[in-house]
Amino acid sequence: MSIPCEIVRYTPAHKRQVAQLETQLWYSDLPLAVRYIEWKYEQNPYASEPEIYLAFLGGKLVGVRGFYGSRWEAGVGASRVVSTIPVADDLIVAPEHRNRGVVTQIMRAALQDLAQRGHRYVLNLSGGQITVMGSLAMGWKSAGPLEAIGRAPRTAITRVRSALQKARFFWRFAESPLLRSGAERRPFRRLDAAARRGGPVAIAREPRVEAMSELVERLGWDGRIRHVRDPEFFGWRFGSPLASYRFLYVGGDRLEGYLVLRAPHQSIQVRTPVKIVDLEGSSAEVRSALLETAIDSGGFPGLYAWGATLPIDARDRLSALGFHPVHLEARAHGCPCVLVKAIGPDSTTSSWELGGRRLTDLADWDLRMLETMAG
Amino acid sequence: MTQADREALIGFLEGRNLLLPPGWNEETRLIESGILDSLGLFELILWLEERLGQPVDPTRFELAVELGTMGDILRFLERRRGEGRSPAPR
Repeated sequence: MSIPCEIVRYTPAHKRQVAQLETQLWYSDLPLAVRYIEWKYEQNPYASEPEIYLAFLGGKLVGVRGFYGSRWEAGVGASRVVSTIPVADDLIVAPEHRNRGVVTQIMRAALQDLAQRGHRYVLNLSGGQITVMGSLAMGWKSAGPLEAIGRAPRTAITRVRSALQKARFFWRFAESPLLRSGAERRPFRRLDAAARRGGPVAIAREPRVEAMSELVERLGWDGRIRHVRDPEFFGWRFGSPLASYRFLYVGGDRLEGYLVLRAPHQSIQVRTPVKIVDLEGSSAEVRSALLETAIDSGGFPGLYAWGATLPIDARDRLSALGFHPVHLEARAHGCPCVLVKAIGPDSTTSSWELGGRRLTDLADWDLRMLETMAG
Repeated sequence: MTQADREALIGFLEGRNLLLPPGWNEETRLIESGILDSLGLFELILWLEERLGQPVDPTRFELAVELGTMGDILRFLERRRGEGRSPAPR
């Protein structure tokens, strides 16, 4: 059975401890981990204080579960609602304390506390397969798979890497930093060069926060569940110290479209592809021009998107440009996906709806990768 | 359910570093009690896929209900096979 832990809410006094545990997850840069916590939880515009829950055993921090603030809108006309919903993320358990029920204890305490703070739902938008399993076991529901699609042209380095992965003993060298191409080490190099040359689609390093927000507002929307994308959101979102972004624009002062690309920060050692994390356009032609520019001018060794919530014309265009289903094992397990849980004393009778839209049906979502921490 | 499945499942559960209580049996609650955590569940799904010879999408059923105990897991295997999806291993 599980060993009882002491569960406490995070305060800034815990920051360094949490950051040290975070460095066991994906990256070893402690100052980077501290900046990430500060950006995601302390500077988050949708939470008055960080909602992070910590598990201590014998005075030692052994587990962490964070819930960052997010703001969603749904419904049209009189049924439109705007709601702040905590999103579960940053789940860490010290390796020597796994399989001991730590996650179950943290989650039970966290969900109870979040319910007492007035929240009716929690989300998980970027859980890996293992986290999804645990969440489903605790009564979370999947709204549906996000259908990862990608494009990865074969190069000499990818062929070498593929061969190494299959070789006895040598498989451990397949992810060596020495086997990263120039494009993988500096993913935006070619795109930045294209930006200097200019063209009908502008390429920039900075978000045009007001213009992007105005475009989102101007294009309207059908009431499906989506994150509020306004100057406050765009002003905060691109501050993640774990990522680099590039922005493609169509239009002048008044935008007709934009596309946002994300690459991991250069200090992140895990090899991940460039991602298309947001796309807006006043027409299919505008969206197509943005996608084609990203691919032609970027020359990315890998490019990745979620197909499920893209406009049909964008999905078709990406398919024509060589995008195909990827991460097939995860897809077979319904991942990545939107996870939802109703919490609080009314959870058993919850409608699982927001603004008349079903939280448990992806057809009622207008989700962009940017609205999750995968983006 | 087959005896082979039962023995294989016991071997799978006892072969992992789980906090199984003394005298645990087919009705011991594995998920609710926290004995099987996220990683354990993921490995259980992989084990089921190996037994069934086909993918198992955990987002399409109630995990805690259908795989909550060893008995539930064995009934899940029997049900899937009974639906004609895959034969029992020898």
